[in-house]
Amino acid sequence: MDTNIDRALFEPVERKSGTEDEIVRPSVTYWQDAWRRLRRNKPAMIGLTVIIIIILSAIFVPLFWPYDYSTQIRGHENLGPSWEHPFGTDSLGRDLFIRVVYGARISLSIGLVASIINLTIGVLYGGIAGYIGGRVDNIMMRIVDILYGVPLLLYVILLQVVLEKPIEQAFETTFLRALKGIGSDLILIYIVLGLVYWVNMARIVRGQVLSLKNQEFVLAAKAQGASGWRIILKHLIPNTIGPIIVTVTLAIPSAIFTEAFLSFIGIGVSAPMASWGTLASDAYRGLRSYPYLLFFPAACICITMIAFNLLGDGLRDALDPHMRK
Amino acid sequence: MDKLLEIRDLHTSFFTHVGEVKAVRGVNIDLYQGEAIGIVGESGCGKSVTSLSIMGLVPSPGKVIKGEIYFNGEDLLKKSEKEMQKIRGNKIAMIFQDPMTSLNPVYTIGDQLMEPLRTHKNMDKNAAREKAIGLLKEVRIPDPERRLKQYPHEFSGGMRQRVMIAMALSCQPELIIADEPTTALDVTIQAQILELMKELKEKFNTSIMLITHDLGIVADLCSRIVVMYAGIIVEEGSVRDIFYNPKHPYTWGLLKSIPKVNMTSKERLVPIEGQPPDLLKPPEGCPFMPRCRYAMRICEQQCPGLYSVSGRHKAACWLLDPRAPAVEWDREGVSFK
Amino acid sequence: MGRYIIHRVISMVLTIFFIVTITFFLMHAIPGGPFTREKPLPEAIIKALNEKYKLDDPVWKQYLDYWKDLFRGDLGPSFQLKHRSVNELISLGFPITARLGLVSIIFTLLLGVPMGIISALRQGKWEDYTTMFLATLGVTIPSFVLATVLIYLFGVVWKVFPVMSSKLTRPIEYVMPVVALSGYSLSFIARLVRSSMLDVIKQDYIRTARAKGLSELKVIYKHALKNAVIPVVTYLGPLAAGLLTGSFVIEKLFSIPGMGGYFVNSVSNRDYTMIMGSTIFYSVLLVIMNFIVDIVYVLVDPRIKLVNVKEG
Repeated sequence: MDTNIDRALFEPVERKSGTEDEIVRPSVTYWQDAWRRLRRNKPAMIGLTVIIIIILSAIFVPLFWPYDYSTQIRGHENLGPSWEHPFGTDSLGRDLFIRVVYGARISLSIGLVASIINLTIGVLYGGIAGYIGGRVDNIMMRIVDILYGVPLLLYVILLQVVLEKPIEQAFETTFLRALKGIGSDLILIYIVLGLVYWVNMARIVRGQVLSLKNQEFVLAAKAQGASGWRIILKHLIPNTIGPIIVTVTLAIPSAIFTEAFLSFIGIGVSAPMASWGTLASDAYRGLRSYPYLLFFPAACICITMIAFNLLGDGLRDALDPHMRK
Repeated sequence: MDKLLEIRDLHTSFFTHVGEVKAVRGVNIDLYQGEAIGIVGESGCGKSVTSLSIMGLVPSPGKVIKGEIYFNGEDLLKKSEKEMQKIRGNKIAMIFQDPMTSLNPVYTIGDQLMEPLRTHKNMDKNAAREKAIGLLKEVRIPDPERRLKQYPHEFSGGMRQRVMIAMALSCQPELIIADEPTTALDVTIQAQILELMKELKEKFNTSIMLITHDLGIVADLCSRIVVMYAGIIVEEGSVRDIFYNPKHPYTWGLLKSIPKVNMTSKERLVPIEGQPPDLLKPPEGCPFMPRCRYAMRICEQQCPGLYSVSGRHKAACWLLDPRAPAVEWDREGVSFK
Repeated sequence: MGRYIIHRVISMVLTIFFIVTITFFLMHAIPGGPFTREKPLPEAIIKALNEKYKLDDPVWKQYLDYWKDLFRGDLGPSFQLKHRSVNELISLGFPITARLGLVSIIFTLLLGVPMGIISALRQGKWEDYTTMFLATLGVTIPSFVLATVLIYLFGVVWKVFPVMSSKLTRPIEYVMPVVALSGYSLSFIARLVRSSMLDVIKQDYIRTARAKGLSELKVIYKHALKNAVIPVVTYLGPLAAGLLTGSFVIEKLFSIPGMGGYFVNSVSNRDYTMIMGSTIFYSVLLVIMNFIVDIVYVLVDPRIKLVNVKEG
């Protein structure tokens, strides 16, 4: 031991009390915190950027592009990619780039509309099951279990066959005539995909509601005399929003994929404005001679799927750290 | 008595992406044959890391960076993984904190209990089974034949910890390291498990290293206590020394946080205020200084060495320096004199 | 265990009942009946057809008749292909589809599980990055895109594998369809196993196993592996469903005369009995698969028994 230490050092230290534990940290809201976490996630930000680029091009490119999706340019049939036609042209001399851009409109709208329908059904179904609980919950979730066990794609196809005519008729006779430009096929796919894939959403919402249901703010709302519906809409759903956003983000690419899959086997959208799946399917026949016709729509499908998946994974980490694997 | 275990200047660090966390910073511990020693401290003080260092099981990114651990005169840190495997479970066995998660859920108790026997003692299935049944009897698990075929989830927490003890005993090790063996259990079960360990220790004359944050449970089982704080030993001595003549303010804090049976309502449990230091940047001075009511200016500048109090009772505190003001401890409070 | 099985059998029967009922009534909800064409058939023919297929009977009677036939294992006649029954079409196509599916499942498991394990054990090393990069591509690239890329590169440009796999008689014909069909599930399983393995090796019981002095090999292959593959078992049901429906497009692209092709054709041709029959066949098949998977699950994970008995 060092014996040459100054005696003065053995004086007690004067201490202000209560300073040790002071933690200075600005308080951030849940959303600010989530956004901060998301921003730090590089793959997710790349995904988000790609999605924004695709959406912007789908909206704005047709406004200034010299060709239309149906313009057939004589003498420009089956051209490879060039400055004039970045993605080349098809056998009818149509500019593939603008067709892919319109395909983005179709495919993205399918993903979006189908997911919104899924969301609505899933949130209502899962919310009600979780909120009421007991026997109702039991039966409702048994049904969900049954749906989980069946190959849903088959029922997408089945519903397509079943609803085809009623929807066509609705287009002829009702106010939906105004929407004719969109095509009944497209509406059909929106509805069918929307009707089938809500099961996952319902499960997640129910789980969230169950865990939140007995928390104090719900009790407080009840004590103030709020009705059941009001509790679901005002209190439960906003608090379940994180996992729901993640599920929706991941549902969009799977709807896009399902539509592309159906188009590829020849039972999807057959509108003048082709979806990516239809474009890829059409190009498959000429694969040997014109592989680029297949390459561009296929690449778009892949890139979109990857982008949404990266964003979805990032959102999962950002919004709900508990869901992190 | 022979020295069974001798830890010399052990340093173990975790190399995380934010930097080196120095979890153990120069620990010396001696353990004699048949002795039970308690290592006490808050979570994060390095007591578990010390025990894992002995076993050679420091999880990545952790690493022993300096020191020697002599077991029966041989340095464990110089042994190969193969040689260590022959020691683990055989010569040194370990009991972990949470019996609910320490047993593999997909294998039967029997299977897991027989594993060390089959590995280390080359027993065939029947011999191992017989021995396993004997071990379950030893730890007072009724109906051992049936219990052997059951899975961990069919056992309660206390029962599982008994299984863990049976497993640790199976190869009759010279040393059992018990890392918080009762923390996850109900108080009544805690007492039973401690009683069992005490009994078995007597019976098999095994040395025990009991790691805990609870000074209360040490007294019963151990003859010596080592108090750790922030990766170093701050005080060590016999149970009598530590309970009746503690010298380190941290030990005082620990003692004051143990509830007493005959406490009056005026007496209160006193928690130790503040947090242990960040071991990413361990302080130059005494690590306890920021939380110490008796801190002096020297404490901030230089870490005290171990002062010998009497015999094997030592404490690392500047208050023991003759130049320091005299501070006396008693259970009711500490007073300057 | 016995109680659990009874429980599961009851729920399986219920599921099958719902599937048949829903499918039947959906198909019968189509307005105009199965013989409505762009160019209407003569009234007399429709009448004769309706009579032949008993479509004039009240719906509930048709429903009961359908059940009666089902119990005899008869899915009825095809409406579009004359003199063919749905059973015949299924027995023609399904063996080929089943072969493709079986090989794909084996391929998926034999490759996906080790990929996940290696990735987890070499976390942060190049093996991990490579595997996870491939797996991320695998779960996002649709099977038909993968299939066309394979066909174009290995079939057309380099001519390594036959493009038309015809009846899958030679092993080499399996290569591309199997790879294309398993791409997604293989990647999914690799990711699943990796994350569950990473989770498992952090568990206390792995530390216990090490503290017992077991060799690293034994720790990983005995104690970690069994726990890590449990999630794979739960994925086997969806895996089978994915492979079955995935085969629609793969069979089309590789011209494999399996059941997927028949099914897709029946949809394009609006062959209602065939659509209904195939849907029921596929669904029931998968429900039974799920049942088997659940039983396997109980055998692998002893904890399940207790949970379900408590619930039931």
